[in-house]
Amino acid sequence: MKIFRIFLTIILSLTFISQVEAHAFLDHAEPKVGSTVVAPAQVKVWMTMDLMKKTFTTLQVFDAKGNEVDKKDVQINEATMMVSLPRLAAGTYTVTWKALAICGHKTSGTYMFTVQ
Amino acid sequence: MISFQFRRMVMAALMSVIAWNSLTTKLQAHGFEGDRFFPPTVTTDDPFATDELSLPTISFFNNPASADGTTPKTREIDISSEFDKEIFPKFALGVTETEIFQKPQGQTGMNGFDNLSLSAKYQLFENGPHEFILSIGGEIDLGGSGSKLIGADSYSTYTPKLYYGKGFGDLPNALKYLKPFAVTGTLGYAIPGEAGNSDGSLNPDVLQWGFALEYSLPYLQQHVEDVEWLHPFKDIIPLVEFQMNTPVNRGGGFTTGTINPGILWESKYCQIGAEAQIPINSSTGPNVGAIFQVQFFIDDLFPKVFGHPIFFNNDKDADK
Repeated sequence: MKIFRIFLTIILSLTFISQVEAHAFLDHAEPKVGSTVVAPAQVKVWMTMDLMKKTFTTLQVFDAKGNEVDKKDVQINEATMMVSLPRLAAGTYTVTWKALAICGHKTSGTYMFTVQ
Repeated sequence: MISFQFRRMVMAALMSVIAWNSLTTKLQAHGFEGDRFFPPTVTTDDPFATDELSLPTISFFNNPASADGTTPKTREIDISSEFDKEIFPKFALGVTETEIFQKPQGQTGMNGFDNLSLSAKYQLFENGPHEFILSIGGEIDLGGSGSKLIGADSYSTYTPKLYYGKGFGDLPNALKYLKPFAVTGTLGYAIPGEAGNSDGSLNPDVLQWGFALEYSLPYLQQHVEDVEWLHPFKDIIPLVEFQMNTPVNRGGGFTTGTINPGILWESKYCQIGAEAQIPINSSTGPNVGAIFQVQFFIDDLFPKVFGHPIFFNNDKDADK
């Protein structure tokens, strides 16, 4: 029983610690994942942990033909990434992010949004 | 005595691995193919050769009485732990140990270790855009390393295995709400080291097949549509696992197995899983059981020690 209590304490501690070193995942984004919006001026993503400003960490936006349409001016600030956009035509766009977290773990992902 | 010495050797080997591994610092993410994170499942093994620690897995189940009436219905609690370590890129070795508590109906309870199980796995083929992975490997249950009291086999069993995983993120957008679905599974062929026992009973070869069908709410949230759910709901992966054993010779009898509906809950440091175990027939068991598991993401907990192979770590990007 004592071992069980110790084990439970460890699990709960690990589960609810807020300042952690773990993989960086997408927490939320603007435009939102899967949303339909009027032409946005930028794409901004909030990750689940701080990022390293190194070559692997990127944020790109592609049109339906696979052409990169962002202004390639990625700004990284702690756990957020942002890239500016020109005036986008109506259509579906794919956001691709790659994140090198401060602990050294690499993650990547994509999502789409639609411009009316 | 042999069992004790062997366990000491395994522990010494594990400590050596950890010590050597702590000298390296480069890291890789665990369980990803493209956008898909494949979680470690509870009863069927996942296809990734990565650093993993399940501690513990606890199952509660009632075993049926034997057909000849010599063994009564038995309540069983298994407490197990599994540790896997990536040795070379995409190749991992693992060790599993289980303590079994048995309480036959109307008899005194007993407990002891099951045979020690060693495993190896290699990620043979991967396709990120299609969220697909195929791995090969196998397990060896070391005969005689467990307790005879709880019926651990005196012979070893050798099980070559195929592991696979497929996410459905490549479906067309018209089916976007199906994209969070994924399936992982294993197909193994268990070959006992001895065909028969001294009491005349036979040990059949057994086809071990199982799969997990899962719907990832994190995937839905991060890659398909922001449904704006809050924690902890957006961290949950509902799933159903199927774990089956089909004897193929020596009068092995019917297929036995369980269907296990449940959930996985993902946090930054660990995953907690809970499933019911529904027997598919009376040969499997008379009642519904339950299984719980805590899976630690040791590559996140100890990034300088785990999360990368011991040898030939080719991941240079982390140093740029």
